Amino acid sequence: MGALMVVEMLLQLIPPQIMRVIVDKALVSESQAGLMILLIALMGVLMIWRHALGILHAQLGVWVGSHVTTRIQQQAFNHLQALSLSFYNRHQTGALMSRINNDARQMQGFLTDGIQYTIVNVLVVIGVVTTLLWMNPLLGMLVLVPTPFVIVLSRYIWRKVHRRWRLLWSSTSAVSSYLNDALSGVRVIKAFGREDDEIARFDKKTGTMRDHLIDAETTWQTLVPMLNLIMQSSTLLIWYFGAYEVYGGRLTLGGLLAYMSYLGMIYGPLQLISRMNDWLTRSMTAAARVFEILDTEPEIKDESAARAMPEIKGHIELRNVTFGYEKHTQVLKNLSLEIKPGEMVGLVGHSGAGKSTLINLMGRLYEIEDGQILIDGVDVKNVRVSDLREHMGFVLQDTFLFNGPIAANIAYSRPDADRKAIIEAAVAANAHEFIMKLPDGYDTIVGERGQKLSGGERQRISIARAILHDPKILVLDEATSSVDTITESKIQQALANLVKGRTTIAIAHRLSTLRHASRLIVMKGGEIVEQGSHAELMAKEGGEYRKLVEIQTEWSRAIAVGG
Amino acid sequence: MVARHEDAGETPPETKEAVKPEVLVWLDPAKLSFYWKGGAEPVRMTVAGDRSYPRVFAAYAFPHSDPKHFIQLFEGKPDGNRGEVIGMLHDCTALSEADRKAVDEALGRAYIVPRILRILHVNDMRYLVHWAVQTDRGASEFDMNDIYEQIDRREDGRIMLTDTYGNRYEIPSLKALDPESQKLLEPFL
Repeated sequence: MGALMVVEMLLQLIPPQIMRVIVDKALVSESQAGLMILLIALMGVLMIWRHALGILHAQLGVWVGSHVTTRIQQQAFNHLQALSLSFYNRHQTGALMSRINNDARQMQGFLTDGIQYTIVNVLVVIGVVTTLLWMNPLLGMLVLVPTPFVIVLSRYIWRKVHRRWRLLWSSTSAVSSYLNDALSGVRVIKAFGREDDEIARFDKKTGTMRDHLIDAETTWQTLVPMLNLIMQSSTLLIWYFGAYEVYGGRLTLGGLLAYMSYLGMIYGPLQLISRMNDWLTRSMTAAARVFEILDTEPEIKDESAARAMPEIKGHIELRNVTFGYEKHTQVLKNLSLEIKPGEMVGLVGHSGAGKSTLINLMGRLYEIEDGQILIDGVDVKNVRVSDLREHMGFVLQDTFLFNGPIAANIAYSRPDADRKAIIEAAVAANAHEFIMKLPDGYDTIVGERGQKLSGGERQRISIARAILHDPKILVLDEATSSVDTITESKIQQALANLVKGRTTIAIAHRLSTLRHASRLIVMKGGEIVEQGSHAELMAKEGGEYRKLVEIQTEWSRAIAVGG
Repeated sequence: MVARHEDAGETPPETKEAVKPEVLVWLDPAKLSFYWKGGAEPVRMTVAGDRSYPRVFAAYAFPHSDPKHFIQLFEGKPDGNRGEVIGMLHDCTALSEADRKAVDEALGRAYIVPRILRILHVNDMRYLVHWAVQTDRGASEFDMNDIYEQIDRREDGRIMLTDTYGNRYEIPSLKALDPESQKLLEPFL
């Protein structure tokens, strides 16, 4: 590609020389018409060659740019998959999407066109200036007079515009994030009649983006013509001094015209190079955002000595575990707990007690600050993350289904599962009946986040997914909340099928959900305050669990009386 | 009715209603025989050594990705509607040709998705597209909005169109259409 560019540059330098010969030799008398035709034909051939090479290197540029960008996008996405949940807690989804889509595309523009245009134009400028100095050293030096001013002004423009592009990007990213949020939460917006407020918020965000865009573009469009003016000022000098060179016979008329033609050739590239400034600024900003993702070290990764754990029994032990999502704010405090293989443990406590945090740590979705979590006696930090997750299954309150067929969503936990296994998992999850009522059965496309299904249906699909996954350790986080009692019964039955032979940790606000638990663990303020069977805990006068049951009983009574 | 949780019994209180757990019987094709007189007559089925069903209904579990396997059979209720599940037939190809024809009939009654054979005319009115087509069930006209969302290209090459009322039409494949129909459809793909 480099050779192509050099040849293309050389081809650009020849036509003014031909023009010089035409003016000085071929135009002096009609007898030179043959020479004239020959030179015109030569110019035509050069023109065709130059454009053919231009097409070739543009095609090469597109190929290289597209491949590099796709690779960067793929690497960024791969890396995002490796990053822990704490990274996602710190970044908005819309902003991340913008980085992978828009920023990578911005980089592609520069990689496809920017780099090669820069190289070609720099080569042209070097070639032209060298030719000008060779043709007439005095005039050649005059061409270079504006150069120091151009450099100083370019640096000034860079500084001015760079900050503005960053602001523009921030506001564009904020609009992206907001759109992602508002469109995902459109039901809530409508349910609370907040459309007008949301419109106002969107107007404000797009207004900020517009202001930043105007600011950046206005600055750019004001400064760049000034740069061009300085660059073109040398033309006046060349005309003035060039005319005296012709009067003095030191330069022919054809030579002066060729000179002016060369001069015209460097303004285009110089302007483009100055535009490169803008292009480069935007692309560097975009690249910095993409590479920020790539450079983020995953908090949770396999240690070099991490061991495989192909089989486990499901024995869990937490030893003096301390953890906080933010430093100095501990959510779990020096917590110790042992769960035997096959045991079903219910985690009970008010919101914010640390129940969900506890199960997140067992799955090593976050890294603990202090203490140890052991599976079958092995510290989870010394186990390959993929193996650990292989043995754990999660059924969460907020079931996430991917936009695709039901069958694929069930098989998400085991992509190699055959259709019979998928159906059997759905039957065990009490989901088969409703699936078969859908016109497309297991081929039904569930829509974005599974919104074409009800909450209970989504929940049963997620249970079928967990059944198919067949984990040794099962985590149920509010798996039956927000559903009616019949659906809850169906889910409970499905869960009863699911928990058989597995170590199960279940969280539920509705205490009835935990009736199969062999032990209940009561948490408060990040600590375990009680544990035992339902009967044992109810026997404790003034105990936390007893208080929770009494509150729930009163609540149920109030609902029953209220109708 | 919400149960009261006042006692300190052995287990936490329950709020459940009795719900039958789902069970699925896998049917052995060797034991099945079907009978269909033709026309609007019901499709009958006998399970050897068990019982006969005077009217059966059928449904695909995977109507698009695997229509030859996993056919669920239901018994007919006295009112003529679909009743309880009899079981799932894994492999339809294991049936005799006559039995398969009867099952196809039962399936055909459940799935009325006209197959588009030819596109006669398309009128794009910006937000609404009017289609005039020739299907395997005769000529039909329908409207579609959200055109790019409602044309679903499946991996197996089939193209499903959903009209403004949610009715679906199937095009087995783009190549199955004549060149003129392809030309009319292509701008929307």
